[in-house]
Amino acid sequence: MSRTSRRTFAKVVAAGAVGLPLAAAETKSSPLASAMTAVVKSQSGKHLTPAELDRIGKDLEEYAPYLESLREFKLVNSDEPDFTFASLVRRW
Amino acid sequence: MNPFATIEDLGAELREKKFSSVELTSFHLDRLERHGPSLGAVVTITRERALREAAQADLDIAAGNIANRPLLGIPYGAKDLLATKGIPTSWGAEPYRNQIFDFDATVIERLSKAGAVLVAKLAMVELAGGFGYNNADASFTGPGRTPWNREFWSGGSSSGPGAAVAAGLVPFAIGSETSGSIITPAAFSGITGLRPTYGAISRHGAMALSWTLDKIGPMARTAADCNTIYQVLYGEDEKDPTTFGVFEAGKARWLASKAHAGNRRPLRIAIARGTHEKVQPAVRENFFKSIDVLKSQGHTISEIDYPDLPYGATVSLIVDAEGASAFEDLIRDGRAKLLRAKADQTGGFAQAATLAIDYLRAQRVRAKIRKALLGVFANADLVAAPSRSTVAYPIGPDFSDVYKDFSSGPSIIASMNLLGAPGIAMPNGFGENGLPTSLQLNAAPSNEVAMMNAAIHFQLATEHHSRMPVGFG
Repeated sequence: MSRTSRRTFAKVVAAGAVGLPLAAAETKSSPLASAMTAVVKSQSGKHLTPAELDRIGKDLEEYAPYLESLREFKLVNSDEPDFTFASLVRRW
Repeated sequence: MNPFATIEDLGAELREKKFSSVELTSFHLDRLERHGPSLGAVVTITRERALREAAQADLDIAAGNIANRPLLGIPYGAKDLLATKGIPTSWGAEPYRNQIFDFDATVIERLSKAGAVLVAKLAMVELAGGFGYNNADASFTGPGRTPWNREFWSGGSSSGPGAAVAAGLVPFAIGSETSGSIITPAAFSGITGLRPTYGAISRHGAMALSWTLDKIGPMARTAADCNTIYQVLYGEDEKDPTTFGVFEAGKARWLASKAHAGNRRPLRIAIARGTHEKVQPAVRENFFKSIDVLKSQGHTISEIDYPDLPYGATVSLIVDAEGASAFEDLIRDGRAKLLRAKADQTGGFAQAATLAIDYLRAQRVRAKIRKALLGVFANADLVAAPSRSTVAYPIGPDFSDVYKDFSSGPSIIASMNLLGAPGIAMPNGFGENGLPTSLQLNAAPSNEVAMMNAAIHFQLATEHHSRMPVGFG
């Protein structure tokens, strides 16, 4: 599954979940996307042309609502990540 | 020789000395050379190694060293993300085109020990699709083409294994899946593909895209063949700690399955609401014909409400973060720009901006997803769905510009990959443009035995897996 199709799926689900029209989610300018684009420019700007940076900005703009929907998912302190650090390593 | 013969048939013919492994291997090497380029299926033909391994297999057969070696003398291809000693392993990507390892991946080692014959390193989507490709032309070998209609994609990211098995260039292949990369090419190429439980098969020597999602699995003509290959590959490996414990969990079930050999076991099969309503008409029609077959075999079918959770966003975040970390050097030094697909040339840079707190959130949400899906499997043995909502994508346009009217609903592929659950895709008919459609079955982690039992019996009652594409006889 491509990143785009993962994100397309996320887009449909998120629009449904937060009750927002999909078109609105696509066109609304996102501070989160702007911030992430600035990070990309700061980290990797020397490798990217203005057109490529613009493309990345649009990609992140499209993605931001779905990232935000994930951030809205309710978690509490006791919800641990789905991997476990082990202090003892099994010996073969 | 029949290029579409099953492993079981080829094994019997080799043991009966109807032909030698060297002859069978030469036959497939020739087919790879003749048809591989037009399908975009092959990176490297491993002729020298193949003939050496085939000659050894013939010696073993002559010496009667054949017990419990169902793959002895059988040629196969490996997705080009599996390390092979002294042979280029390109990961489908220009920056790694000439990369050579000095060891074999564990799965290659196990196949060699079993007597299988490596004939080719097969094409794949660059970096297994980790940087967000949106077009079939996403490998330095060009787009993989399905042999059913070469104007359409063979699926990804295991594009070469899909096309090569479907066209009879190899009897089986080894692919990999992070989130859909076995199920999708199996569906688009009209073959059978098995995604194992996470950790069931060692990933040592395989390109890492996502440490918590990557799986290695067989792609072949039938579920029975996948089962045979799986039994050779699965098990603990000291070089891959994710395999610890999975072996023990699955072992009891495998032993139990031997006691049930040949028996069909009635299972509870769930269909998730929303997964079939908006798919292409032929996909839907073929899906329900398949369900009728499963019903006729004594399985109980029920429709369920699938847990409403953010599968797509979660898997996307995890692959974004782990993929950016796995290829951090490629991003930092700018070589990502050498990738083929336009989306891949910039995707990694965007992914590298993922925040640690968002990645950890995704893994915390994943724990909740896992709990909810294990709840589904408390009341069902299998979850069935169309493997994909449409037939294969056309080569040329971006994926996002085609099939806009169709959707799969709740993503069974993403959710099952988050769970680390096994799944199998099997051909179940044809749809638009003469392209195959496919049925997927999924089971709880380490419950391959139930899933494979149902899959093998489904194929005993159907003939979709026996169809051959025109022009490859």
